Amino acid sequence: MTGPALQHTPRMPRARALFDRVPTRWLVASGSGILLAASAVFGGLNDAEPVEPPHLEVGEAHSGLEMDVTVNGGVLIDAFPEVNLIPDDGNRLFVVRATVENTTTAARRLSSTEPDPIQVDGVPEVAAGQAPTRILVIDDGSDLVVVQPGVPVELAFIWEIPADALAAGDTVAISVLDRVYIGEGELTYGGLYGDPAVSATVDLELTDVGAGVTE
Amino acid sequence: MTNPLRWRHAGNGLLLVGILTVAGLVLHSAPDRDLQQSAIPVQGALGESASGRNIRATVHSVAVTESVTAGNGWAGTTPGIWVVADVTVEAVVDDQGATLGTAVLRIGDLVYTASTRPQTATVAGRGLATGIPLTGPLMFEVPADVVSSATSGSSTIELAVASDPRVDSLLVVPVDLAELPAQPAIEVDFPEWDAR
Repeated sequence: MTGPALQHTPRMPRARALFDRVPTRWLVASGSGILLAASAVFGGLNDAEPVEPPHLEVGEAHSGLEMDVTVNGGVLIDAFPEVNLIPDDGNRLFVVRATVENTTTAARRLSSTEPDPIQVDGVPEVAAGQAPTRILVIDDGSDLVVVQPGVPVELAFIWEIPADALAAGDTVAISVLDRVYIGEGELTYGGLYGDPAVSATVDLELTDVGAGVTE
Repeated sequence: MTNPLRWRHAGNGLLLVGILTVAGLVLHSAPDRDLQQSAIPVQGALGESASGRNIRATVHSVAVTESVTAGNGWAGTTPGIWVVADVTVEAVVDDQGATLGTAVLRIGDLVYTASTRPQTATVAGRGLATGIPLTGPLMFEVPADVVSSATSGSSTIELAVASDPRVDSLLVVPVDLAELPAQPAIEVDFPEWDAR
């Protein structure tokens, strides 16, 4: 049982004895402290810069993870009777026009149950992150929106709001969202996605077109 | 000198290696989930009828056009180009829940679904009847440079009942888009039952 290491006598027996009496957790704590102090020298304890999503102008294109989005404008309108979209009494429609291009390789249906790919903040009576009432293709009023890869399409994202909630000249904050891919499901089929992340913001000044637009 | 214990140990070792080898072979050769669940492709050809479990379809012709006018007057515009296929499709055994849920144009890695913008003037998403063929157009909205790309010569049109074609028949019809000249405009008929 006697190995050569045990026969070795330390060069500084008293220092060694002192060191042996230091509790291990003191060693761990002081080691961590030294590392932290060293990182502080290089700015490790400075306040982190908050990462603000870029702020876009109206009409400026934004490249997201899966879609390029350009917010083109916002209007208030009474109704869209030609697509059978007539709000309840006392309500009007708040419309955000945006051009969306799918940059993935597969067509994707835009759901009107998730706030995707844009959401509005600070609109009275519209909860932050509330999905639009309807999403329409502006070209033909079709309301089942599938964005095909590489084919930009201008869409109208429509929220029904009380008539007095917004007026012409009001500014509404628009968030452009990215859906965040987590991975393939183990038990479920298809990709799993986390909470959508704000990837850009746009301040939109509204115009009021009364009963209809002429474009 | 023969030590029976040593022979037994060697035998156990060999047995263990054998079991591990077999397990490894099984693990690496068994079909994975994608293969177990993938759609069952049925190769078809342009102009010929192809049959799967609950779908029989014929892709009669394919055209590339700048603009298309559907049977209900719809003429949606696109920044890309329209690929229009004329198809006949019917259910085979059961019309319960049988819709043309999967109507896909695959060009290389890119997957385009048949547009539902023409509403009822396309057969995409329409309910199917058992034994009564429905004939009509499928419109695909595709970027013009993808249609003229090198991979468009080996495109496929894929049809299946239900929007999720896993573990069911998927009719795969090869189409050569590279050969087709882009026409300025075409008109297509409203989908018709039992037309051919």
